[in-house]
Amino acid sequence: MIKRFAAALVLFCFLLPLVSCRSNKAGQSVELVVVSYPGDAQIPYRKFLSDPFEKNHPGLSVRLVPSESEDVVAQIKAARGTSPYDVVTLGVPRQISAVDEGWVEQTPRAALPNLAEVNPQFIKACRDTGIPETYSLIGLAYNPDKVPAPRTWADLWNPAYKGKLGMTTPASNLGFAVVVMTAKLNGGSEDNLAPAWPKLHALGPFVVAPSPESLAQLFERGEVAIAPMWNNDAAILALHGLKLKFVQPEPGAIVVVSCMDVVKNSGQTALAREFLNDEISRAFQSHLADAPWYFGPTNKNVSIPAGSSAYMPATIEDLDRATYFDWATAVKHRAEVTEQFDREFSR
Amino acid sequence: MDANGTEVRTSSLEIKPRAWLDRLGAVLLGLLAGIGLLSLILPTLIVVVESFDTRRFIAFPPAGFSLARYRAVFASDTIVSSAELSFVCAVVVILLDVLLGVPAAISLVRGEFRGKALCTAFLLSPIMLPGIVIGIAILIFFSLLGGSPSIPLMVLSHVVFTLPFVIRLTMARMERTNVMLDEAAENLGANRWQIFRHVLLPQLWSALLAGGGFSFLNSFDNLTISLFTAPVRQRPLPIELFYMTRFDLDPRVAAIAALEFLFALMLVGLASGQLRKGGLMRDL
Amino acid sequence: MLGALPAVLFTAGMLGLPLVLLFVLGFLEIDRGVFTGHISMHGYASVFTDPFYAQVFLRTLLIAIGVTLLCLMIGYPIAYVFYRARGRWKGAILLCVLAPLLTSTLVRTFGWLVILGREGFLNQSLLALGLLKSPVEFLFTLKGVLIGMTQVLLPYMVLPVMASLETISPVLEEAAINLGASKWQTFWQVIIPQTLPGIAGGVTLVFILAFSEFPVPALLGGATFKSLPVYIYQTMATLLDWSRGAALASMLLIGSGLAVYLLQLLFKGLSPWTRTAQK
Repeated sequence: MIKRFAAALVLFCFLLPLVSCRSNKAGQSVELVVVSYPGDAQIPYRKFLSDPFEKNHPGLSVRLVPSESEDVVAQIKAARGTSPYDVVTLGVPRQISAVDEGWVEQTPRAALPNLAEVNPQFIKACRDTGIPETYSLIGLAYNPDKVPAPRTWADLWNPAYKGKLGMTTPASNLGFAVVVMTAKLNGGSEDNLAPAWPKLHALGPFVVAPSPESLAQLFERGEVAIAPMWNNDAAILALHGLKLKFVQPEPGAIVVVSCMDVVKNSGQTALAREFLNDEISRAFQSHLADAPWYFGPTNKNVSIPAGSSAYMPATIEDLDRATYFDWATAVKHRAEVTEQFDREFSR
Repeated sequence: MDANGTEVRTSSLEIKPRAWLDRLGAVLLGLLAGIGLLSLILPTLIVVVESFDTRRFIAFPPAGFSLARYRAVFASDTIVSSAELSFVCAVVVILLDVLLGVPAAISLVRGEFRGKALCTAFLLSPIMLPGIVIGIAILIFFSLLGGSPSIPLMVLSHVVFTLPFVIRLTMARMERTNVMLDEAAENLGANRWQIFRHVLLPQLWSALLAGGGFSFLNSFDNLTISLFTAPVRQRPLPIELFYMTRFDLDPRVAAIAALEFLFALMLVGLASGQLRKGGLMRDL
Repeated sequence: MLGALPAVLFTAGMLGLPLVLLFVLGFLEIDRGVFTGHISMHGYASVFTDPFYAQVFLRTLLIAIGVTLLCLMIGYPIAYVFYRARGRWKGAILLCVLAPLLTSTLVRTFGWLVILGREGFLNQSLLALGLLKSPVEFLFTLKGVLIGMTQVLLPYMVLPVMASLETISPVLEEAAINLGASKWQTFWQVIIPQTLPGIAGGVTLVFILAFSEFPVPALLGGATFKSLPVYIYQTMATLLDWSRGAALASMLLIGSGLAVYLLQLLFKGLSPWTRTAQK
């Protein structure tokens, strides 16, 4: 018996080195850790940005870490010495907090030559820090077989949707935007978010998913039939063959610009800045804007592909008709809104 | 009145038995036990079956058969390296547990000294502590001392809560060994080390195996304590799985879960023969 | 003796000292792992002034009690069936009880994520069996957490009761039957009292584990579900409020200790029989 156990253990120890080969490779090289998108949304970043970047820098490996929003932010703030992450991707609401709290680098504009090609309104949205890497829209995704099509944001309160609705918490930018939208629909504003609560309760019972990614999964499983969703996530779900339609509700889908920054105390500042610069290059941005991901290009010289009208406004001018929130004001209330949401809707 | 004419008093305890109540009891018992046993094995079986699903999300019953998720698991550097990390740490935890625990168990059972009861209680007490309290206490304490979450800290925090198991199992086994064997060996001229190696160790082997297996699984699978003591850049497998499940509902988790289950079964299969011989059930 | 010294020093330094200090740490203002030099009451103050905290605590208590009762109701029959079983069945039941312990809590919880959805296996089966008219919301609700936690902690109730059943005297059972007691009466008045130490052990263990359980409510409860351990984790890891985290963790520890003490009192009060049943 002992011999058998010993034999198994020895066998296992032989298997270990085989598996270890992979980690040895990573251990010897330099690593750039980038906080990026979860799930399939990460694919364009891997295929067209980080893989070519690795080729240009032999011995470098780029690790794309799916963002877990608030935990990532906390980990960066709590780190002593070198930061665990080199580059972060943050939506404007979180970007504002990050700049205020001072844990992202004020990358000198000279280090980012491609910024010249970027639309100035986006650079301003990112508070002149880091780069505006893309913009996304929040609209409504629904299953046309199960529920009727919504036309406006107020349509969400249609009784036909009761019990079939999904949401995320305000910890994610998606959830936070929906809360702000709801407040405004009920006579509130970015500074006065209290009216959101009774209006949200009026929606009836809804499923609260921990993140937009898991909300998309619940959609796939048929647990929810309608949900506020990022246009990219909706496009990816449609790509999987899911019966889904995406709507940019009146008066306009909510636009959120996404920024990328170099984290202060990163161990790889030079490489990180170069990574940022590559991100806003024309080459990468045209891949990004392409089907099936439809990440809005911030580079002026990239045009939005034809056939994307379902998910994106066709031109920058059309984008102006979408809804922009005063995130600077709204963000001041984010912490209490997040806590309040938990209290109001925990079951 | 019984046969001899003596008066037989019926005790107040004697109530007429009711057959339907017996039957009801049996049915209830069977039903509850059945539901319980089903609930114990069904979730794991469902996950194993679902791991072969072709779709990109988690739902049961699966739509088809494919090894895609398994391929994705082994292709992911993050998952494989975190599994390796957990494995190596768990092995170190076993070693430390045995090095610290076996001498302690021997001295607690065989030794005679003041405060032995207190010592025993102290060493066995961490079993009842909530993991989250252990993790937080260790994190804050060592942070204030200037340390920060790291692999060594994580390993040590695992040892802290697995040590009592090893000590307890070894002690139970020790209590059933015969002191006279030790004395006989001593009389024949063996020194302390030889007594340990040739007399005690063979008897303790089954307890060490069980304790080691226990420590390994508890360290490999531990989430709560690791969440506080593990570093951000190198995460052990449970933390990786936690994030994959909480935020993503990543379908690869099904494949990893099935693999873990297989591994655990292998461990039990190999060890079960040895354990039965060593009389483990009595010790538990 | 010297053999125990390394272990004692290790446990004292690694765990004993931090735990003793944990209570004190709640009073220190800690910013990102560095003591700022101030003493602050805000960690403990929130415990007494925050109504949300009371809600969280009560909810956690409710879950713990609910799970313990469910485990007792389901776990005791399993142990009893094991006791009565013969041959292969005994081995099969033991395997069913031990196998889950070998897989991590995460893996078992993940299983429930698969089963509990509106279109999940549980709803499908209940609908097919005709026990339900329309799907019930299990996922991300209290019901789901109760179900998941009960299954995860079931072996911890079954094993002590199993061990206890091994020690009861068959003679007493025979005597009761001979005196005319029904199986029902024998079960409740002869067998259960003798297994009281096992029940006490199982109940205490499951209660503590349920009260301080983290992965199950964190995953099955969804984003808004706050049990005390989940709340503590969020306070420490997301809000980085370590003073409050330390204060809450101390409260959790004291709460668990109190619960163990009360449970022990309860079972001591219930059992004049335990003295004969103990080994």
